[in-house]
Amino acid sequence: MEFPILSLLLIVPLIGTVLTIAGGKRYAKWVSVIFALISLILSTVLVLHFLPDSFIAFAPDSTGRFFAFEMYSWAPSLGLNYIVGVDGLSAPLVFLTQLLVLMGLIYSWKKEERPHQFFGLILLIGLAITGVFISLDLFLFFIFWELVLIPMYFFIAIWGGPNRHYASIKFLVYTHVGSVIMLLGIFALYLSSGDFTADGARTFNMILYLEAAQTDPLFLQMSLQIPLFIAFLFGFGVKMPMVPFHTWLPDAHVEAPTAGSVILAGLLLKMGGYGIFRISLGILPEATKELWWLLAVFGIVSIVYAAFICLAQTDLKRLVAYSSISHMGFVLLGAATMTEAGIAGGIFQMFNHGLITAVLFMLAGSVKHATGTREIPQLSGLAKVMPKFSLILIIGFFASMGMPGLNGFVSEFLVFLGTYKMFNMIEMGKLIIIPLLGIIVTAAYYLWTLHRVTLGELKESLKNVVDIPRHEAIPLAILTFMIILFGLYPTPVLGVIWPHAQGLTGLLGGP
Amino acid sequence: MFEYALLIVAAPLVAFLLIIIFGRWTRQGGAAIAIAALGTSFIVSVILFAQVLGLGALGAPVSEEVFKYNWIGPIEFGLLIDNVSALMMVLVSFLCLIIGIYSLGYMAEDKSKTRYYAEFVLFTAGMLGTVSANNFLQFLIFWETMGLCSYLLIGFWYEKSEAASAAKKAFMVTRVGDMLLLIGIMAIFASLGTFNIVEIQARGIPAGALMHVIPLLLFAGAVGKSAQFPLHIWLPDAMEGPTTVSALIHAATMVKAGVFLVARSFPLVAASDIASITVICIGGFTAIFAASMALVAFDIKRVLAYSTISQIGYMILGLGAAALLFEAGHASHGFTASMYHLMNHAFFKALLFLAAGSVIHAVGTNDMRVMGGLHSKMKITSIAMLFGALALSGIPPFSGFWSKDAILHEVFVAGEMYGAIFTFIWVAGVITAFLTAFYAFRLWFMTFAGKTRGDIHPHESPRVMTYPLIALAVFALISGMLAVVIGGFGHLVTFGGTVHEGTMELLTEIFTSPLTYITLFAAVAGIGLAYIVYCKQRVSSEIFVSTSVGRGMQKLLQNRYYLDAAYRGFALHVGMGIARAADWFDRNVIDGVVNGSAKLGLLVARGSDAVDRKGVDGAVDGIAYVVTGSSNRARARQTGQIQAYIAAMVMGMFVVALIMLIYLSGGW
Repeated sequence: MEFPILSLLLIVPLIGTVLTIAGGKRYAKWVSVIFALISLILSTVLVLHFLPDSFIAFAPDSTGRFFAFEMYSWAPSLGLNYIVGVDGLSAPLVFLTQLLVLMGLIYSWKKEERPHQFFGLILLIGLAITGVFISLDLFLFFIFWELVLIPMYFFIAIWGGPNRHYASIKFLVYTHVGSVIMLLGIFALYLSSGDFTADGARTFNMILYLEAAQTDPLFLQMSLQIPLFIAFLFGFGVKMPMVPFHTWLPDAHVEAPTAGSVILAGLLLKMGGYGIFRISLGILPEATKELWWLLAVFGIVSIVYAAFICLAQTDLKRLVAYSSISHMGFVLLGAATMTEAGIAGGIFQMFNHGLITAVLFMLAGSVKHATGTREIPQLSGLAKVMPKFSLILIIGFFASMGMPGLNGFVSEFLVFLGTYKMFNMIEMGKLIIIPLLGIIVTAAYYLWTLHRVTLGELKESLKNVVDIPRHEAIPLAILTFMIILFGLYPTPVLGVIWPHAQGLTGLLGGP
Repeated sequence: MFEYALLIVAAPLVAFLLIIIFGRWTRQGGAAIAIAALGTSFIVSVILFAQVLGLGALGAPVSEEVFKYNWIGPIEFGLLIDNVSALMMVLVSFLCLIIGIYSLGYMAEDKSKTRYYAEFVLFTAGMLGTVSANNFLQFLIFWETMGLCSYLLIGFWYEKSEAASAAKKAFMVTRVGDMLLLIGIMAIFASLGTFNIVEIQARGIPAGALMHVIPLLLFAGAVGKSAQFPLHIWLPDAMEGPTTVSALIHAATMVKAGVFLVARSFPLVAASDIASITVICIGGFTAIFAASMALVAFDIKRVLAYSTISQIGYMILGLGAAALLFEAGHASHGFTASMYHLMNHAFFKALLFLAAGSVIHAVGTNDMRVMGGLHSKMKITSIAMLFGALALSGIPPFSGFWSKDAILHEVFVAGEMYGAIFTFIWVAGVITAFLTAFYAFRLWFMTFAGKTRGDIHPHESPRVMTYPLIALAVFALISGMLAVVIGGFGHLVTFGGTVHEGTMELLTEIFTSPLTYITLFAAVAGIGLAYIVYCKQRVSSEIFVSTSVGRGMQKLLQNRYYLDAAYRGFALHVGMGIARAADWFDRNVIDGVVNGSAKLGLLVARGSDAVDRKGVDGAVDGIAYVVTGSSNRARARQTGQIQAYIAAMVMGMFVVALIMLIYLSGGW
């Protein structure tokens, strides 16, 4: 039997969660970190498989699309199966999940309030998110999708800021409404699946849908594809989030503890992006060709609108939250281009944004720990007393604004390239100016923030501030290193993503 | 055969890493590492340059791409070695080395030397990478690296609020140009499917609207980086950084990169008359526009900053004139003249800045009104600066003369062919020469001649600073003549064929042309006026502001034509206005709808709750009592909504499940 690496990626954190909570306060952090580390190693092995000339190989499924494939029958009469597998789209995200979970744990090392539950819940969220990325059965996918909400809700509601109850409920209800609409889509897919399966039986098996789309893009009639596309887009759009369905995000972030924000922005939002590429583009290609402009408009509006809002923020964490919305807009825009570069850029943007935003949220947490406030006007001249913090802040901000040499540039450039090609094709080249305007606004709000927080004269009240402690510096340093590494040498991740982007482009009939 | 050229770019990059890691433990904060790396780059550049020139006949244009490396997808990185890039690498590495050595003295007392040298070498690497890039993406990466370094170095003394603002301004303004450049590069890729510069130059942009748009977009990038109108506003403020940094930005890197970009995309510009004319107009206008602002500045570095903008305007003007002539099918030396001026300007501007730095180091202020009479106290600095001022003014045999004359000559030729507008630009160029000589000597006389006006105690700078000055002063004197000696700069850098001229022919050509004497006269007149007003003080400088027109002009110039204020107003009121409006909209309208629908849901839930309670019997009543009791208590707080929310949610799920069941039993 094949080494069940993906099932292990679910089982290990599950055991970790149980042991961490059961083990009590004393052992919580060590137990959780060890289990997270095991998961990270497993996911690294998984990603290595995708590199050219790799010495690690996992067996593919019968269609050759997915690797590390496992399938067990669950409820055959209903077409329900336990199916897991990864491809170029999900493998980087699985790796990112394990990475950010571990980094979030280390960052929270000094958590004193109910640490065992805190650490346990982080592992549980990581498990659920991993499940979303690796599930190839629509029902299983939905179970994990919903499972993410519950620990996250408690996370904000228990360890959150002063307005945590409002924020946590808003998060739960809002994203749940999105899920319910998506669920309708899933059932509609399920109910119509009898028409194209070989034996006429209904199924939740995602691979069958992907294959059907491959052989006949019109395997679902357009009258069904279009409403399905809209239902899924709403479900994913709320999660991403895209403007105007985004207002749960700033509130949730402002109230969430730092590790929660890291996972929320770094991973939760990616579930939406993942869904767009996997289901909207992969299963509903004809609808995508019809409604790509919807993705483009939502993407462009998110990029520009959220960037302007960032300019008006005074809370550092709220600013980073809105910048997340702006940067996730690139994912939508990349998907909308239906070109190789655009799709690869969009997927890579998810990975890069995960790294960058994790750093930025950690920094927002660190500045709060060090100075007692996140209000930008109350900070000034921190470069003097917090050089490490300031250095990482500069790198993080510049990465986020797309400075060449850092990872954000590669993905944003690819998205723009795809966009340009596409718009040029249909003689709408001028439109590209609008998202590029977003880039200038992005530079403006980051530089202005940098100016106000780190430069200028040090305030009297901040004279005794100390730089970030070691347990916060370690994850920041690791993530910053990866930001630089993948900026200079994106091949290890981009090489995994690119074939998938090629496949999708072929499906969408792009150039 | 030029594989070793990689070392030129790699040396400062490696030094950057070494300084970050080991810099703090070395005695001068990593200065030795920086100097060693810059020295290596310089020596290798010289070898490369010699080899490039030595290929075949002297100055045969060669271009070779070396060291290719696949980055992402179809993009291949590498170095493009030809006359232009080889020259630029020698120039950049030499000036960076000189400025680096000078920094040993200038920055001796600074506490953050490690940071300084790390950013310094990265800046150098950025410029060297830009000029040697074989594709536009690589070009952009190094180009932006320079943008980052300029941000860090201008804001080097970040405690000073002005420095932090200037850094921000520099980055933001150049970013606008960079964005347009990015669009241009993507447009090239979209129409040609490549970033490779050689291929792009060879194939050209297919005819159509893009043929004009693309060179204009690339030029916009140059306008931002080279501080040309209307994106010039960042450069005068950029002097908030250390003076060595100003010298770097003005002479060796950054602003020269813009000119280089126009030179690299020259075939594209020359293919479009619209682009060529735009380039000419922007260059010509910027030259006189910036020179006018230099007339009223009292900050010694600010005068030099405006002079850079103005001189770069000349180079852009020359390239534009050449492009237009090429477009019409004529031969032109404009390309050569501009690169020639770029080289000469690099030497004398570095000299002027380093000399100004020496003055500032000695007197502790930038304000020329408190200086004066420094000649007797600091002779080396004074004479070095005099050389720089002469070169800038265009007095033979100093370097500026030769190249400025050549550029104006090209513009005049273009004027003869295209009529009034270019003749007009040529006249503006000559007036600029007059203004340049005037402000250059206004600066020198105010600083070094007469009596000391303020309470200052100057002293000559240490040798580590004066020796670089002497070296640069020598170059300011001879760099122009050297090219004449070898029979014209065209032997080193040309576009479209080599130029074969002898030294004597060249000299005869220059000194028999009446044009030469017109510009020369303008320059001498400028110096003369400055002498009368600021040295002899026969005429008080008040004379310029004795009339209301004069006062109005002065106010206009001192306020920099109100452009800075206009941009600031735009950013503050329009940019921030949109931001605030969007924020308000987000909090009140979008979130208002969300909260409103939540309240509506709550209302429905409460309604159904009430109906439910009335309709159930006593046994259930008891349980209901507990629920409503707790929810009543909680209702005052926001938390109380949770039951209602969950109720709504469960109801929703129930409805969905119901629909599902119905369909499952009945079929779709």
